[in-house]
This record gives sequence, C-alpha cells and structure tokens, in this order.
Amino acid sequence: MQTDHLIALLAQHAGPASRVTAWRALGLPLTAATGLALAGGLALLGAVPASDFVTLAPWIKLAYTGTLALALGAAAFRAGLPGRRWQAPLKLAGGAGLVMAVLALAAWLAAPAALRADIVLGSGGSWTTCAAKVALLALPALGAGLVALRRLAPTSLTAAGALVGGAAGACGAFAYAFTCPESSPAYVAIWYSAGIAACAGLGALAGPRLLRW
Amino acid sequence: MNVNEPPDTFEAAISPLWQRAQAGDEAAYQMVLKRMAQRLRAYFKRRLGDHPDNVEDLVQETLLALHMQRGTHDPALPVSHWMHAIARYKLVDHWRRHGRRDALHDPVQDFDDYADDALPQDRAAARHDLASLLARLPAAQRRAIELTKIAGLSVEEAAAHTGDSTSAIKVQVHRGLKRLAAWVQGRPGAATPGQED
Repeated sequence: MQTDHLIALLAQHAGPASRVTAWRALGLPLTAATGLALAGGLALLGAVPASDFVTLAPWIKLAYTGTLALALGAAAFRAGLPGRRWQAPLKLAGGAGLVMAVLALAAWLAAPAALRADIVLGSGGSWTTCAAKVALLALPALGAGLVALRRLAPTSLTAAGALVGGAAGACGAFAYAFTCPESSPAYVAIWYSAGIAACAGLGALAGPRLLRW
Repeated sequence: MNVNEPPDTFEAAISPLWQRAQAGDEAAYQMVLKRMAQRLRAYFKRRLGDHPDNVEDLVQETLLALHMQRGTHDPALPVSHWMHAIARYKLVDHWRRHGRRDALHDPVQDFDDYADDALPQDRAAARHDLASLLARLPAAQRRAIELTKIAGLSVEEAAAHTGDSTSAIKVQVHRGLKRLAAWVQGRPGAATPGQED
C-alpha cells in the first residue's frame, strides 16, 4: 500500500478526535472492578461489624488504600499517553506510604512489649492470608486495568504494568478493608502494602506481554 | 547549508495543522500526516537503512498508530513530542520482534538532528495494494471500512446501513485498520490474509 494512500484513507471522514480522559479510560473500569471485588469480598469473607466504623481503624485503611489507588491510577493513566511523564503522582503515593509508616511505628512504640507481635501479625495468624486476600480481591481491577491501559498507548510496558498493577492492588485492598477485622496501623502498613506490592509485581510481569499495541 | 529543520520549526509547522485536524479538519489532518510521514521516514531510515521495505512498513504502522491513538495527545504538550514517543515505541517494538536488542535507549532527541531531508515519497516501493488487502479482510471489517472510509458515511449512517450498533461499526473499523497494518508490516502472529472468515 502506498503511504499516501494510507494517509488519505486515515484522514478521510476521520472527524474530530475524541480525547481520552482519565476517568473514562481508567477510573471508571477500576471503580467498577472495585465494586465487584467489594461485593465478592462481602459475600465470601463477610463484612466487619458496622460498629467498627465508629473507630478510626477502617477509615485509616480506606484513606491509605484510596489515596494509593488514586495516585497510582493517575500515574498509570499518564503512562498510557505517549510522551507524557507519569512520575508526579507517585509523590502522593510516597506521601501516603510515609504517613502510614509513621502511624505504624507510633502504634508499635505505643503498644506494650507483650502485644507488639499481635499488632504486627494480627489475631489468629491472619497475616498469613491478608496479602493473598488483597491480591485476590485485586484480580478484577487488575484485569480491568490492563484491558483499559491496552486501549491507550503505553510506551514503557513494564512501568505501565507495574503502575496499573499497583493501582489494582490498592483497589483490592480498599475492598478488603470492609471485610478485614484487624485494626492496627502496623498490620495495615505491612500486609496491605505487601498485597499491593505483589500486584504491582504481577503487573510489571504482565505488562510487556499484555500491553503491546 | 543546513537542510535540517530545527525541531522547533517542525513543531511550529505541524502544531497549527494538528490542532485543526484534531478539531475535525480532514484536509489539515491529511497535510499533517504527510509532514509526519516525511519526518518518520527519515528517522526510521537512519536506523533501518539497509531495509527500505521495513522503513516504509514502520512509517505506515506508526501513522496508523498515530491515527488510532490521536485521542491520547494532550493538547498542552507538543505534538512532535507525542509523535516521537510513538515512533520510538514502534521502532523498539520492531527490534524486539526481530531480535535486535541493541540501541533500545534511543533518545527522543535523535529526531532533531535528522529532520525533513527525507527520501522522495515514492522511492520506497509499495508492497501491497490497498484494494487487494481490503478484499481479504473479514466481511464485517471490510464493510465497515468501506462504508465509513471510502463511501464516506458517518458511523451512524453506516450503522443504519448494516443494522449494527455504532460501537460495533467503530470496533470493526478499528480492528480492520489494525489488521491491515499488521499485514503491511508482515508481523509474525498476525493472521495472514485469507486465513480468516
């Protein structure tokens, strides 16, 4: 095919460009997937008692994971736009991580020595499954996020995959917060973050394979 | 004598055209794609100089990507920068497919010292004829492309004509163009013409 013919074909009746927006391209799919994960999580794992929401604990989880989801989602969207720098929103994610680390350290220092293992590991060995449950509830968002990013034009596939994986992990952790009875910031800082990081790693591995366009 | 345009000149030349094209001006769109094609040809030729067919394939693949991804350009950013990022991705992707792992960190600025001293448009031989390629597309994709791109119907009119939804038409056009590009490029793994439907 002559290149000029191709150009004519492309331009013919092309109409105005429909600009992609962060919300429609990525925000909506991730939000819908989080809703699905929330419904699944409540059905499979059960909800925390409503009285928990009188305490600060679930709100800290939701604020931490929600901020991470927003920041990593914004970065992932930018990574889907050719020539756009995506690093800026990571400052917000780093800030959330820092605040969470300070809260965790404060909780650990404030706890009596005998209870320190409990606030880090949770009750009844729940730490052994927390990160895995976060990752499980992140699967809908991971799938939706990868599909959404594939429709954009990521030029650095590993980075884009890691960012959308991290955003999906944060969505999964957000949903998990509604079913997780643990209340210590130290627990959240470690095991929620581990689940989110695992999803980011999964996304980084999947990116070069699944995000090519 | 300097035959190379400074990068700012290229941006200044294509930016107004691009804005009009994005707003729906088809003549401006065609002009800006031609300017971009020249630039891309020079860029790819420099790196694949020994394979003129590959150069033209890559130019076409990139033009198609520019078209399909035109919604991802942020008007606040230079369009040349956006184009360069897509071209570089396509080049790296080409190397990846062909087992060349060197020079993956090719700076975007490399465009700047190799501007519009392109090959004459017609020198790289056309390997495929549009009509015969179109004929080999699955029927739904071919019809969608013919109606919207060649007969000039709007997506809504094409949808009314075939009885499909508008989004189905858009998807068929998109897939058809993508498949055409894959054939033109001879991508391994792309369904070969005539294999499907």
